[in-house]
Amino acid sequence: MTDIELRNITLDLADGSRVLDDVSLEVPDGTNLAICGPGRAGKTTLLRILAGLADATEGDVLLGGVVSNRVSPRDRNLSMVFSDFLLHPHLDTYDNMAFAALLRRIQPEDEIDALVEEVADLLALTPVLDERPAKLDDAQRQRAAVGRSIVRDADGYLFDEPFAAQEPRLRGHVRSVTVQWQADLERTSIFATAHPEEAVTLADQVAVLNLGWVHQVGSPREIYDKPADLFVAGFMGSPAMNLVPATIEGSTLRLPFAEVRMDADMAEKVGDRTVVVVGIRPEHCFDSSKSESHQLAHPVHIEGRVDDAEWGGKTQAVYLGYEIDPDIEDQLTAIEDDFEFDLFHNFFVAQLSSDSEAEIGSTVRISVSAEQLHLFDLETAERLRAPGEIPEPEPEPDTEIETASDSEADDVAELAADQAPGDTTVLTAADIAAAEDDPEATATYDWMVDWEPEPEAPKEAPKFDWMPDKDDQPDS
Amino acid sequence: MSPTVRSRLLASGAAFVVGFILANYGILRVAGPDRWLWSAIAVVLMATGAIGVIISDSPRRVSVWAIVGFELMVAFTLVPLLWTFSVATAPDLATPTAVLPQQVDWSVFGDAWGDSTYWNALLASLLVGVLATVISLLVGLPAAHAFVQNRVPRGRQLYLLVVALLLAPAVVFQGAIADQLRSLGVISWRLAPVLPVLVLTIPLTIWLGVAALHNLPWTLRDAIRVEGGGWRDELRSFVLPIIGPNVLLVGLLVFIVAVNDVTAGAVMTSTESSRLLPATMLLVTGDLTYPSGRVAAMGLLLLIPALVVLFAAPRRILHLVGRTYR
Repeated sequence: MTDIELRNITLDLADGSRVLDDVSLEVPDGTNLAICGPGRAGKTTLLRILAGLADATEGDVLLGGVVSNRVSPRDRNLSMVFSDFLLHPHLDTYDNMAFAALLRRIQPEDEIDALVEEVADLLALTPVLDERPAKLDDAQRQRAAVGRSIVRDADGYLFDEPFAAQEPRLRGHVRSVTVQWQADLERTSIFATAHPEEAVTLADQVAVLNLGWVHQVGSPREIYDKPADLFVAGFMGSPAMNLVPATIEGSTLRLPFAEVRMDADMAEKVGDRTVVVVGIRPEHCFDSSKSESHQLAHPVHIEGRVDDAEWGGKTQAVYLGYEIDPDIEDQLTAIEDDFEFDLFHNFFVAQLSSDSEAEIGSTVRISVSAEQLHLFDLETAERLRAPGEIPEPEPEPDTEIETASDSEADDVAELAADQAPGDTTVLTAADIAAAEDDPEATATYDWMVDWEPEPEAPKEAPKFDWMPDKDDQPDS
Repeated sequence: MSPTVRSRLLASGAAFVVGFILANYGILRVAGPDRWLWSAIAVVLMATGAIGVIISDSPRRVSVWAIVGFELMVAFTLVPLLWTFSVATAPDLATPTAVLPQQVDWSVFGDAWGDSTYWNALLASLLVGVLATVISLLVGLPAAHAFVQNRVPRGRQLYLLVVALLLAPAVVFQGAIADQLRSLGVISWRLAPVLPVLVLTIPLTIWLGVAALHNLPWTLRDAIRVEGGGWRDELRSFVLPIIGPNVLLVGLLVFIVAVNDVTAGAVMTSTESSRLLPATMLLVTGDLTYPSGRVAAMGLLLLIPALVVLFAAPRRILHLVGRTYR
């Protein structure tokens, strides 16, 4: 049991390249930290420096509050699971799992035997305890490596991609067993993983690392709700957050496929910028034809042609294509080059319920609450505004958060109230806009490149007698 | 007709034609019991041809060319070996009249065993072999380790140089070394042949060492260190069980090559004390006063250590040499 701290760790290679850049992390006693980042982030190097297997160019490793840079790996009393398992090929699973514990010569052998059997049972390794690593598959080898580590009574545990080889069926189970075991023992643990969804389920704190630089440290909730910059926003989340460039025209935020009227707070955060990046999480999108979208506060409506749809059981990922403004594209590319990470795409992903109609080639209308919009600076890539930072709407009309679609939501509610009893038809914003002949609400933007209305489409929402034909609506 | 079927039919045809020629040659030109030997080889080849035609359309992964090649290799290996055995076991040191042994007289092995010429040469070969192997392992394995760990600047070019040394005619270097040893007056020393032998064994050790040390889980040492192990644990849990067998095998192969190094033996023939076994056998083969049966027996005795190594660790040898060729 020990506090683990990395203080201003920098590592430069002989060729001058910087692997780690002023990394500072603190893991209080008995807590978990997940270091999450893509390949070449420096996760493994960081763990190796912690374990004493590599030296930092600058900075200190503190174990239990004591600078331990010069302490040998064996004396740090940290256990490590390596990404390539590192099992002894000449020992069977049982001996491999008992190896680390036996090496310390601290725990009694009876206790080690019992622990190995218990852990093997938890990790579904009992049937292969007599087999050598060559006879095991990668998932079993990895579980044996995890088992070897947790059987040993160490002060802290370092896990380098400990579940990467697990098949989906067992992955969650092994993860849960490992975390629970650590929690029961109240040991300090650090997990390195390239999987954001794993990081947020594993740890009390998550550190997002890329190219040797820590972008953000915080609780999984903080990382998810308030990503510090574009990299964190684009990397943490599955599917990844949509990062869409938007231009500012007066008090209007113009996205390639929608317009949002900014409130005072948003306008203040945006300042005198002419371009920002808007972040929208796919899971915050709703099918406008579904009743759940009607409950959204300050809805923004997005309409587009379905380029692709991935069915995922309860939900489906729907891809809507759009064009990125060529004037902004160079700046986006520069940000991607800085992060060496692909952040911006020419498609928008919405995670809709699987019963939403999203045939490839068809047009879908999606609603997202304006309150769920993230804003990022295009120059610094830093966060300007996160959903949690939106103040409550004030009663005065001139300070109220108002989007281009606010009136639509109200109208939907109003019209729904006027519906005949028993009429369960879901009214869409399009219906209302058509009913009131509101040109802005049904505006067709340039990004709706290939969309052609199909009046005879069988799955189109039903129309009321009093509604004019869609073709009669004026274009903006 | 698919390429596989065509290839099988071609191999079957080739096997049948070669078998047919051998059968005719054996029947028409070979006399005595050897006619059966020729016929047997011919029958095997012709039968392979026939079976190859039958299975040509089979979905099984069988290469008829490989089978024919293997049969020819066995024939080319076994026939000379049989002849050596016949020469060694012919009664009264007479020259045998057939490849197939007619009468077996084991006494010549005892004579060879007690022959001082043989013993001198064997002792010289063993001493030189052991010393050359030890030096080669001490020099070559660290070099191989450096190559494997990519710690050698311009490693690829240097490794190419090592392979080139193996391919170059050894006599170019060994002759020069022998001349230097002669000018220094140490050519007659019993261990003098070590130097020319090293010309062959050091590159060979590096070459085999790279194959042996490649793909070993070197980072396992990190795991041992993190888990609390010291250098003794590293030795016990990594060096001995994981590196040890491969190093032992490299040593055995290098030793056998060192003992069999004919060129080094040939350039160091000035005195009997430094004359190695292969050179001795070459010399006495041309010496009509020396019984040829005894020479053959010496050769067969020399074969034993190689066979022992081969049968002791066949899978590991194939693995090691296979990786070297990859």
